[in-house]
Amino acid sequence: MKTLARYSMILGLSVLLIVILACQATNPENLMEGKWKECRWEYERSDLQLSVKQSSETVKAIAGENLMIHKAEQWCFYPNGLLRLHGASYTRDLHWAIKGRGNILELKYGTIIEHYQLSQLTPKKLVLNFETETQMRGIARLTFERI
Amino acid sequence: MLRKYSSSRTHSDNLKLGSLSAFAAGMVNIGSLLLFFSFSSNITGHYAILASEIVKGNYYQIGVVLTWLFLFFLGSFVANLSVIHLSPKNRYWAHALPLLLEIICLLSVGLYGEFLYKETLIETEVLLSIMLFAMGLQNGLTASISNFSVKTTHLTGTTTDLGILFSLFTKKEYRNQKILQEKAVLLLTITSSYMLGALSSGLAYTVLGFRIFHLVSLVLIAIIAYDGSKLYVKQFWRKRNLKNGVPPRNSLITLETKKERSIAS
Repeated sequence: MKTLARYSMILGLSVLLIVILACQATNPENLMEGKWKECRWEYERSDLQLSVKQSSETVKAIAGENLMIHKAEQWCFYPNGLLRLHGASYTRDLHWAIKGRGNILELKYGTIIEHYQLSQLTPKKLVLNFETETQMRGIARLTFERI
Repeated sequence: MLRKYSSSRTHSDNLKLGSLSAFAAGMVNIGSLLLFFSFSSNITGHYAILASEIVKGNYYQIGVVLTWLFLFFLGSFVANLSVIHLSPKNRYWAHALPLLLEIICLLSVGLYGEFLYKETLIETEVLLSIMLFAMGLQNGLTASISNFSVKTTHLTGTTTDLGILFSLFTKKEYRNQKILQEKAVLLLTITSSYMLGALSSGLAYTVLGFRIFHLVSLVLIAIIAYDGSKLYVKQFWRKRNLKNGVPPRNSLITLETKKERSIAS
């Protein structure tokens, strides 16, 4: 009986800890919803010994060349999984979802699927990372600010 | 595979159980990675992730990873609970119960994913939690009944043991020990089965999607059915022979032994 009580107490405490954490935290999906403006594109060449930071426009042209998000400047995340990309005389609707433990952003457009690493997500700032093999292997970073 | 416990298990029992369950674990782990972008049995990795999320102060991710780790622990706990508490009543069912629970978990993930999954984060996390519980069940069961010789859901320990064994084999006295040779064969079989499962899952994923979990369930059913068939077919024949007046094989052996003893005396 004592053992059962001890085990139940440990189980209860573990569940309580997880519930407290869940109450403290905001679901990344809810944080994501809203309008975001692209601020910066950065690119670190992994095949060079020194990391080279290039200007935002050049990086966007190189790293984003083959991506669905290439022409976007504003991203609007809607709760039903709709992502509307706005650019200069350009609009495209995609489907978005967050995977893993809330660290992967999946974008779908027809049969095309792209994945981005959600490296930072706060109410005001969003940072996405992705690997690129366009022209030169490396990791690109996109920084957004909430509008 | 399932009926025998600890030291009464043969090398062949461990080989069969290890290869089939490692194949299933490889399939589940890669399936979860491809479908949900997270491993379902890489517990060391999850501890590292937990530490990094604590440092970053991401409460949501800390909660998620803690839940996953706890469920893996709970799976292992439930499996051994079944083994130690139900074995005196019926050893086969005590050992088969964790596998049955694992099948239920994997089938529910497969069916939910196929028909109801809307790709929300909460669904992804709940489905991953179920898979971690299932992997905990499997690892707990195989480790418990094989006296910790068979662990199939992650290969850190297996690779370490292989390294140690192969270094031992540089000395002739160890190289010729049958027990060490068998251990090496078992560990190599587990590793290759896991890889084979992972590769099959990776290839089947594009065609089957969530249905790969139905395939894994089939492998697990094969494990349960193999022992079940042996046990119940044997019982069936024994009963039938008794009905027809044929003495069971064991009693014939006793009879022969008695005869030999009387001749010898």
